[in-house]
Amino acid sequence: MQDEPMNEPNDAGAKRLWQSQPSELPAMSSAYLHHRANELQRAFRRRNAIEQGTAVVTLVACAIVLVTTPGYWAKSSLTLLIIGMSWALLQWRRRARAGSSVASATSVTFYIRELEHKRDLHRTLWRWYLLPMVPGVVGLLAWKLFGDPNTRGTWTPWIVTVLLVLWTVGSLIYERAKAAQYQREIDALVAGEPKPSARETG
Amino acid sequence: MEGITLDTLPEPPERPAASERDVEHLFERALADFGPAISRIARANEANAARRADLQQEIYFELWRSLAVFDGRCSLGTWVYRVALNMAARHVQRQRRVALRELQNLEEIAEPPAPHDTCVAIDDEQRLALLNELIGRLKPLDRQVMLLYLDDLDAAQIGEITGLSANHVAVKVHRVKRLLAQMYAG
Repeated sequence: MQDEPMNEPNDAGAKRLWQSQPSELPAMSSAYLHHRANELQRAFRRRNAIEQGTAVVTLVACAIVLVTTPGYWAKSSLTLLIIGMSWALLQWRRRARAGSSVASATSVTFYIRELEHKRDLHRTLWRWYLLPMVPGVVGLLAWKLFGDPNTRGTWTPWIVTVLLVLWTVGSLIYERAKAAQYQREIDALVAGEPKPSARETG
Repeated sequence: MEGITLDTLPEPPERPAASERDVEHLFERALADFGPAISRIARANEANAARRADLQQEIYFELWRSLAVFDGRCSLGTWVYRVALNMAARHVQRQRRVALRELQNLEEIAEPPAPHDTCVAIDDEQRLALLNELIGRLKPLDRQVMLLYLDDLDAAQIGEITGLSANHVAVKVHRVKRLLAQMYAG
């Protein structure tokens, strides 16, 4: 079987010791697996119900705020923010579910796909998560700075603006650094000349 | 069955994706033949007993799900090893996020002290602990090569499971041999 002398005396002991470890075999009948699969389905349904319920409650709360907020400026900004948040949450959910699950692929392919998935999340986060909320946030800040008689001419909206800009820039730098880190790992793996993907999924 | 190799199972013939009954039959075969190997993979990738049991169940569950699309283009053994190692690698990645621990390549890792360098001889249990500790510091692919080598798989089989080229496997196996020899020297 061996195409090179792998069973040299100096590591035969290690192999023997390794293979003689006591096995920990949990009871795992197919009935149990069916039960686990059903449990998983129920958990998904529960999570979906919670997510949808939360979304409905949030929308109702936003609608109340919209109705009670005076002026078209604030109303339109809030509407834009709600649309942006809804879009970002939808995208988050879609992308979280699009994670690779090719468990039987070769290790290299599986690992690269996992890394690519994480890299793409970090690389594109600003585009589908931050950007959709920008119009609403800018509109609200502008209203607080120049429209709202309670905050116009005070420092508070300026401080909030500066903090928001700092947080956004910091997040963008962090996301870029994380994406670059994953890309470096991918490059290192690809440089290792993995085999073509013809038999990747068995 | 301890120390089973992929050669012990014949290559399944080409056929369409498995039916539910086929899946159950394949799953039972996989567990009977490769259960101990899965157990060793879980042990090497998770030291905590409770989390190890979770990982093992996760591997079994993913294996059961994946067998629905098993089409016989590779042996059952190759399939089982791929699923088990990939699930273990994903588990390590998740745990690494929690533990904030940097993993190393085979080339980077420091060789363990040879037993003859120490005043007290170490027994098998301690050796096994050292071995597990060494494996636990490796990056996923290097870890997988080492685990497959310890399970007595040859370079071609390691290449088929991991997707690494023959040259790459040879280099990594050479390094694994040196590390193991160092542990067992004396």
